[in-house]
Amino acid sequence: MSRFFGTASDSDTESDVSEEEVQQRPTAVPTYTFSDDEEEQKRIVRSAKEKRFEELKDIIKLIKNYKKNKDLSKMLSSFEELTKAYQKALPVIAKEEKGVTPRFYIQCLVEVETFLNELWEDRDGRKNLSKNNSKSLSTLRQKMRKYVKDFEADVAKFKENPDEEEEDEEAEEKSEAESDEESEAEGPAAFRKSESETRTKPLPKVKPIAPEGDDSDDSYWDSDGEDETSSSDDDSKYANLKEKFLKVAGGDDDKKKEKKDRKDKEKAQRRKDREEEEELEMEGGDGWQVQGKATQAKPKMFAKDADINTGVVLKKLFEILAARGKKGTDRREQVEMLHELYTVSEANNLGIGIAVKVKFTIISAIFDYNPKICDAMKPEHWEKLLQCIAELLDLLNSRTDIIMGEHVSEDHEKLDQAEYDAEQDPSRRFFSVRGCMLTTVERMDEEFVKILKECDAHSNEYVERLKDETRVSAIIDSLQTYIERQSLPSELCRLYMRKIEHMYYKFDPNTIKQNNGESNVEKDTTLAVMDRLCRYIYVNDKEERIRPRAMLCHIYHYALHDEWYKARDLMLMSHLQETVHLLDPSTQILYNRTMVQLGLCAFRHGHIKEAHHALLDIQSSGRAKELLAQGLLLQRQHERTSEQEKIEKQRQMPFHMHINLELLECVYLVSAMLIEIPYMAAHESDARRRMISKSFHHQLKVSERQAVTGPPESMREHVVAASKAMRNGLWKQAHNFIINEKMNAKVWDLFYQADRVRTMLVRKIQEESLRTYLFTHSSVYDSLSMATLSKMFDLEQPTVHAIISKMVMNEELMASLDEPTQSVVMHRTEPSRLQSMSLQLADKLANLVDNNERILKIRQGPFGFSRGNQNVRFGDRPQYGNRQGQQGGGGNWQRRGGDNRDNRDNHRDNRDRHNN
Amino acid sequence: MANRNRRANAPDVDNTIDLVQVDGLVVAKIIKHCHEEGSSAVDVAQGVLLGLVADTRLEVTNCFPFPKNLDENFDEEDYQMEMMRHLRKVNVDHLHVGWYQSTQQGAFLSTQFLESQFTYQTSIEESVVLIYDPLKTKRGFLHLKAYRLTPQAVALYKDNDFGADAIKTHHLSFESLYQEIRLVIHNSHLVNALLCELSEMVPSYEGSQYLDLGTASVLEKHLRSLTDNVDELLQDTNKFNIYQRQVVKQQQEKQKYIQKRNLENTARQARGEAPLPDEDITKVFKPIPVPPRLEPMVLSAQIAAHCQQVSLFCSQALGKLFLSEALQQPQSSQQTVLKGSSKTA
Repeated sequence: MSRFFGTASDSDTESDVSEEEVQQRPTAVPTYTFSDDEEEQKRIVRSAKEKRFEELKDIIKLIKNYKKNKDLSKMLSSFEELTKAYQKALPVIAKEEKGVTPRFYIQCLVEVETFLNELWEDRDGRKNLSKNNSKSLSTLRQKMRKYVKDFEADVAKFKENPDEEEEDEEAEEKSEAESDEESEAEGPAAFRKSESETRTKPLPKVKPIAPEGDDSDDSYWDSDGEDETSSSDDDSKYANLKEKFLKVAGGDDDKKKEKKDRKDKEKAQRRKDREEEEELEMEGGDGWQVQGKATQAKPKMFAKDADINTGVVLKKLFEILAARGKKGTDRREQVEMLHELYTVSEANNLGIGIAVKVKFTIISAIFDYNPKICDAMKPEHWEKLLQCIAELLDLLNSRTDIIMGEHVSEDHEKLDQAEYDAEQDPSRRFFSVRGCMLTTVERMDEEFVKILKECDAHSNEYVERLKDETRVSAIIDSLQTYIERQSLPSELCRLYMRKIEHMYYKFDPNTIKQNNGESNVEKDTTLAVMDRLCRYIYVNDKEERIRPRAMLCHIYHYALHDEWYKARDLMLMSHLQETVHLLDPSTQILYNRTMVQLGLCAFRHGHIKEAHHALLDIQSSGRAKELLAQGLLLQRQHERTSEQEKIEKQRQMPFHMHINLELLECVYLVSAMLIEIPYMAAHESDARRRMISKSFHHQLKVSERQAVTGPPESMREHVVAASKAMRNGLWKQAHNFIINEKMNAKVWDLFYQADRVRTMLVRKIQEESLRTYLFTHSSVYDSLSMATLSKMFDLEQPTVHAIISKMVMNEELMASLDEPTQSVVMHRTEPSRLQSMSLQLADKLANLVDNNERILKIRQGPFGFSRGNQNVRFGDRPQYGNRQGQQGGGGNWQRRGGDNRDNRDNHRDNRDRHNN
Repeated sequence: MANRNRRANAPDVDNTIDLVQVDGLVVAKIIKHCHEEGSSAVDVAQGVLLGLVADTRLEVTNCFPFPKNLDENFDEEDYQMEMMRHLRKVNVDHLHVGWYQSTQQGAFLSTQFLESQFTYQTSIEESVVLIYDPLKTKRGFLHLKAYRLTPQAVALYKDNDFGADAIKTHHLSFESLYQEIRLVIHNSHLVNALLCELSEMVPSYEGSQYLDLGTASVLEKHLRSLTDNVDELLQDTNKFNIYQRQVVKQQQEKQKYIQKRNLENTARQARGEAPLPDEDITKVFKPIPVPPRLEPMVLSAQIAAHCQQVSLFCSQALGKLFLSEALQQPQSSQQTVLKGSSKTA
């Protein structure tokens, strides 16, 4: 109860403004949660040091026992344990005690040593020992001697003055054992812990406390006659309540005094004043007071008069870090603490080493904030993260004497400004900090992608987040300057890869302008940058993972900028087609994207066949969306497990990198149309005609199945309608179907130089229509004037001439060109459809007759016939017996005769059919 | 318009039914149904024939279609019984005497077809199947035929063994798988009178489809289905061929095995030991399953039917062509068409 009052009053006697301030801050919440204190007292919060020391002490106790019992074998094992435990405790000791071996440890060593020596000296006694024990004694003694050598100085010191120190130590031990409070008071980690606990408890928890207070202290409430029965948990209400408490409590002098103390403390602490330490001392050993303070205090960094130097800050940092990843650790709190630490270290001018170290820790703390790896970061954290990383990189880039890397081990960090200043040798004048900037930035990049994927791709939010892309790129750039200074090829490769992945899908109009000579050549285009980065990777990459990715990005970028031949050659040289199925899924996705881009590029350049080939694999399966990782397909056959779905979701591309699927499909269908329609016309009666493009045929079939075909609506319908028109040689109609306003808006305007693509397309349609026309209708003509043809298809006569010549050359068209009259003369060699079908039938019949002959040959052969028949009967015999009853061998004979006759009949039938 | 096309019956044909007399009403109903539902290539229209047997003459006096129902719960038998009960109420012949089916270019023969006709013939002895071809009728030739399975075919089906031997024992070939029954269309005098009246009202240019010269497309269709059938038959013969070879091979092995056994036995006898027990040789050499011969037989029958139709069509077409040639003598520009059709004929 008293505690309740205490805290209540102190938060109240303050000016209201500050009170509210406190309330608004989330960390101020603990003011109300007093009932937790008891619980916390029971909680043993142990730092790493305590844990280790306790371990040591336990073992020492055991050793002491064994000493009494003279159980040397057990003592030996315990001693070994002890040394091991000490080894474990070493880092803690080094950190907390500045490398000074704890006295109790030395004491134990000395005791054991003297004990052993005594035993050793006592020869008679030694003889009395059991075999086992004497053996242990000798080994233990030897070990002891060796081991003590390491502590010679300490031991000597201890031996000089054993009593005093013993006392000292005892006191220390006592204090440590008796009160968690003290250690908690000094250990901010513990502070934070208790705080986080209180903070994580939701506000409503406070509610039941107030009634509890009611019950225990009825008289107070009654006398006041208040309306506090309403159990509203409103903050203002509480403030009211507290006022009531205050009034009542005001009578108690002691409490008031305490309150005052506390109030002061609060104030001091809020101002980051460091008076607390003093006050604490003034308060003496008032246990609960300290405790109460622990619960409500914001993490205080350092004692006021504490000398803030590198060591202290580092210690603090490690304390904060020690809580990392533990259950119940408030991650946000940690970030805030680190921020504060940073400001403190800045304020005290501790040097850049510490700044870098702390910054780096902040970044990793922000990363830690999100416990689930598949969820995206919150925007506010993301902002903070970007800012931190940018600042850190600025720091790193501003000085050349900072070494940061994974190779710096924790023990070799050099952070101290003083040390730095003290160093005489300029070549050794540097800070070294452990941590890998590259990994951090990579992680940041991944987070960025995750954040983008989290947003709805069509919302403003996405746009907002996408604006960060420039910042991310800038960070990568500044990291590049930093890493290029250190020039580690493997790291550079990784970094360049990051940069490439941010660049490869972006279209830079300057490149094409430069190629056309429209802009000045000196300007560095992304293509040039890309080229440089990729080349570096090709040369320096030692792992096999980055190189193919870089290559694919390179090809993609080329294809994007209409460098068709370069892209194609690079793709062919890479031989990635053969090995891509062995690579990881994300690279395979990149490969698919690259192929698509390559196909689009080929199409823009009028290489229809190549475009078709490049797009075939992606488009024919009907899973383009999935293959390009632009969305999950619903699978009907088998449900995905949630695990699989998660993995697949992780692979998805963020929206701004998507390739337009409709464009892709349209390009594919149009190229399929341009190839397939003439082919279909040429091989109309060919029985063994194969399909070039299955999905194109599928579209055709779909439209054929419809009873009535209206005017085309969708992109597919347009293409199908165009194909139908083309089949009839109506190129103008086909042209209108393919290129009109609807299709322009949907597809063609998406190209960079849409008009060029359109003219190319029209040209192709004209040419292929001409070919189709010639294929389908050549049988009707005896001769054709090329002038007419060129007029019909709006092509120049030389082009017509060229096309027809090519067809004649390829033996697709049985005709010859008559130069003087400029006409095509047909040679009638093609059979009519009926004729060719009859021929096919005749072929098949011949095959059939052949087969029949073969059947008969086996039956009639000198060997086959009788045997074969017997054989059949052999197997049938039991059945036969059943059916025919008692018929003997005679029946057999008859039957065979019958077979014989049947066979002959068969043969005759066959002949007849043959004759037919 | 009775179809006079008849086949000479095989000598051992049953004589339960030798004439099918179909009412004009039935024909009209069948035509209506088949044109509505069975005119596309995939769908087949089917229905039930009702009538009476009079001596060896089967009079078909009414019919009703099977509904097209994709619902799985739909019970066809229930529907039929219901229909027949209703018809009985209105005093219509309600005896089930067979079924009808639409077809495309005469390609109706299949194992399923035979099977269902078999079940009909076993449950209702006199039942027939009427085959109607809507396409041909469109061209001006009413194509309505009645078929029954021959007694041999029924016997074969009863044995349910379609191996080569079974077919042999039943003296069955593709020609004697089914038989066509003469079909006569019968109308009441009143209807005849009405028809006479109507024929006068028909404009003179109607009915000129007889002279349709579209030979190529019909022939092409026939050829296409012929090619398909031949293809399948080819596969079947291949299968049979393989089977034969396997049998021969096994036979040789068996022979070797028996010889070896005999030698061993004689050797044992010479030594005075008991001969080896006679193991079941079928266990050592499992008989190879005989590929069923029904399928090729049906295919052969189908091919034969196609051939018959083609020859019929060609003879008609030739006549028409000569006719049109005579008409067009002055211009004589139909040469190409003539050439094409004469080649196939």
